[in-house]
Amino acid sequence: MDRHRQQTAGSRAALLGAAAIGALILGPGAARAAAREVSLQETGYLHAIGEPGDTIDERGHASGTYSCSITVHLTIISANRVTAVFTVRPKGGSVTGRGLARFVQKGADGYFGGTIAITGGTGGFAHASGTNIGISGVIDRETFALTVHVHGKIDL
Amino acid sequence: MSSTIRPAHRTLLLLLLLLLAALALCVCPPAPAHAGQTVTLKTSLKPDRLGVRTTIEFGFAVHSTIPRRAPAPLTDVDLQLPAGLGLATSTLGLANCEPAALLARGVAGCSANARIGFGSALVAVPAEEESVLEEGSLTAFVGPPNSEHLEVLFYAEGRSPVSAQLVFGGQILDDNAPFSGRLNTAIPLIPTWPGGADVVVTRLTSTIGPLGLTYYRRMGKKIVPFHPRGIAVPKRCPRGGFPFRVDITFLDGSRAGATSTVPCPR
Repeated sequence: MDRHRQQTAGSRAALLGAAAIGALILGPGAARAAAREVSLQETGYLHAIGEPGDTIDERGHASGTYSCSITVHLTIISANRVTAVFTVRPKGGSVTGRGLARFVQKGADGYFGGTIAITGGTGGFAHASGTNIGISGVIDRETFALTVHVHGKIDL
Repeated sequence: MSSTIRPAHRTLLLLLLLLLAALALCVCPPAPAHAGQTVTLKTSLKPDRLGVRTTIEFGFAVHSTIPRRAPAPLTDVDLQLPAGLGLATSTLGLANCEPAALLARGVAGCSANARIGFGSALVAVPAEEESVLEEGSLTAFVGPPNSEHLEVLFYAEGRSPVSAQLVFGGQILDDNAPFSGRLNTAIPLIPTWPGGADVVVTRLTSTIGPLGLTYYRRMGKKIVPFHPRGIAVPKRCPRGGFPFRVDITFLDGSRAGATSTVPCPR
């Protein structure tokens, strides 16, 4: 019984090893099968582009797991809810996602928090995926300066 | 153990019941005719131009369906605001106002930067012959920070014939299309005197927006006045215009509502 388990475990290890070697030899197509999980912790500082109305377009820079440019498009869909579509452009590609967040106004600041899902990518991030990624932040209601935190796990 | 009644007794019982019924008719006051309320709503945007920030003006009036009788007291007012118009990208309510400070010191108790609108209210004080009307001023503030919803405080102040101040609060809640949110306000009962009838709000008008408001900010050692940024109006008008709706609940349990649409600017 134990020997059988050892043989099964050995076979599994051999298969995984072969898959890893195959991925290295065959390139990105095979690497997709062996997606790696990245723990994402990003903080972005953005400013408004143009005149905000019921939508706000923001652009800026994010740092953390990746150092990259970031754009966020916020749409106010009701008194307390916003949708957020974001694109980050780390070296070698881009990642796009969208999500829903609650919005609460407190004095001169507006706070939001919710979750986003990755909807696409390009370059080295063409196969990026992830759901339930946390997004939170604060927006200065006078200047529309936005600080956003993104935290969660993505598969590359 | 079943009880039986003899025919003679049955006749007596019937006569007794008829007598009691007749007495009841004589003694009891006439039952009031079923009173109801109707509501009218007026809304406008100032300025009324697409893509230009604005102030919302709204006003509702309550009427009794029985002539010369005051409507029932209001307990809840739900004003639905059209999609596309929202406070979020305005700078209205850069400060928060505490109800206790408002009650203690009136409008002076709160920062000017917490004001988001003003208007008036007409109340009816029920009296023997005919209701006495009193008009008071109304100021709207952003209330204390709340983790869930934006709080709006209304400060109403009447001078004559009765000097009275009142603070009541509402919340801006989510809503579904064609609305973006609704201002849900609980109206407290305002007794005239102990055991007396309640005062009835018969008309209320208010703005929500920067029209007539001045905010202040500190720039170095100076305090500089400025006008808050208004409510964003989309660049494209929704089909049929900007819809508003008010639903009012009364103390007698009845409800009445009205709609109003700001037509698309030409």
